[in-house]
Amino acid sequence: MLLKLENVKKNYGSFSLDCSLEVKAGQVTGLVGRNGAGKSTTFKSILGLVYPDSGEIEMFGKKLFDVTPADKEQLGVVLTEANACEMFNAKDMLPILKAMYKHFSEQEYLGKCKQYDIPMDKPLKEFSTGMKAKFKIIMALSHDAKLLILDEPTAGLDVVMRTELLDMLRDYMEDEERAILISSHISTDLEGLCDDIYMISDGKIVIHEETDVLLSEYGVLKVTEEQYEGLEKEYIIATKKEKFGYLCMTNRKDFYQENYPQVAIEKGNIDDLILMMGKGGRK
Amino acid sequence: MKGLLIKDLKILAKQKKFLVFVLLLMVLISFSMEDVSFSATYTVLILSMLTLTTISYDEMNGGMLFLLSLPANRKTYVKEKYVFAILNLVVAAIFAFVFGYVASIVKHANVDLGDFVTNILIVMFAMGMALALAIPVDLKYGAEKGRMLVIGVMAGFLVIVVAGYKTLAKVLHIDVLEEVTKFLSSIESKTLLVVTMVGVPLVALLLVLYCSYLIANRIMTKKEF
Repeated sequence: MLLKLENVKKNYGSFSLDCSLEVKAGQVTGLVGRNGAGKSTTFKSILGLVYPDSGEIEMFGKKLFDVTPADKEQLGVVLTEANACEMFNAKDMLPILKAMYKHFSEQEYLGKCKQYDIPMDKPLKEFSTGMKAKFKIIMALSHDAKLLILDEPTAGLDVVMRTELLDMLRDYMEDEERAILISSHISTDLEGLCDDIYMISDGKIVIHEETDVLLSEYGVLKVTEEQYEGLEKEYIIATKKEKFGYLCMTNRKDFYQENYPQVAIEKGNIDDLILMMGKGGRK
Repeated sequence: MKGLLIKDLKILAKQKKFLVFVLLLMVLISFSMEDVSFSATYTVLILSMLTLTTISYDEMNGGMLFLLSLPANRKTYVKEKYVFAILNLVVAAIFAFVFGYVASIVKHANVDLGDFVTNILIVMFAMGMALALAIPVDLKYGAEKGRMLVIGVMAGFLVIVVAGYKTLAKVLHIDVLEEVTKFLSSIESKTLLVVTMVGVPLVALLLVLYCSYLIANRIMTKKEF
């Protein structure tokens, strides 16, 4: 187990986080949720940037409090809000990162910068959103990290850049000792990359499921009020009132396909989950 | 620590225009004024404040989040800032001394080396004290807000010192400066005089810097980002 959060609680006035999750070696774990659901607070708690009020965080088998800078060398981090000094260019960052990480590979860093068209002499403040995002990932990938913590690494990128970035992450995961915890609001990115997904809403984890199960067994039922009355509700995990009747999220699509052939059932996806498990959508 | 030091040196290297401006001003002051020690003290004063510049760059644009997600914890960050501040102060003083000395030779000016060095040491001491106050304040309130606060506190401190000096002179008829001069001139051994004049302020400065470091550490440990 590379990362474990157990009942991590953090209160900010009206918002409160209560999060438990695990990231295992060889796995890509996704964290999804609407803006303000608690994703960033979770990431900041993991990185020790905010202090949880209670609960336990373990990283690389150690309590977070005991994690040393040397342990942190095994970590690669990308946070949306975190940026290197914008006066610097990729060339400036090289000696800094080299001094920070024992296993920093200059060759890999330079190679990746070249491969992904990162200009070495241009100050970071002149980088496009896409360049900045790619550069952040390159910095996180150049020191043989065991665990990547990526908060919205694809934010603001077009489809071509997102694909490039996701390819970098897939290459990274070829080593089975490694793992990634990633959040993104672009659900298709996560569907194609993650082994399991945690859904967070109002600071609470409301679903944890393997991505394959989520895509194959979850579904959305569109039912009239009349159909809804007669529906077996055991496998309905969320319901939302609509003009025509109800939208119901199920985790046993096959059950309703067999027993209610007249009901329209759509394949489940992460967007539907966010839509229905978020505020106002839960059962 | 090494990575953070390199980062701060790189921030300084990006201040090329500012450093060239300081250098030009130094040349201008050195050659327009009789006394070279003014330009030297001015240089130490300006250059030592660059430590605070590095803090404002660190804070900009989510920079602290970035730095603390690298293998550098809050303690390393604080330690590096103090090491950098001391190095910066020493390098600025050496530079100011060499520059002033060379300027005096070029100008064929008659410089009392003892006075010249004393002036540099006094400004080093004052700036060290100022940084001991400014670093924790900047870390607590942010570089921008912190700067105003530090200026306010220093002005207040100056007012208290001057008022205290005047009150002592008026009420108790004690002229502190005169007393100190009297005390120093009563020391007969030259070595002991130098030790008293340099050693006492140096130990006091290091002690204040250490206390400031402990406070800054506490501030950073408590801070959430």
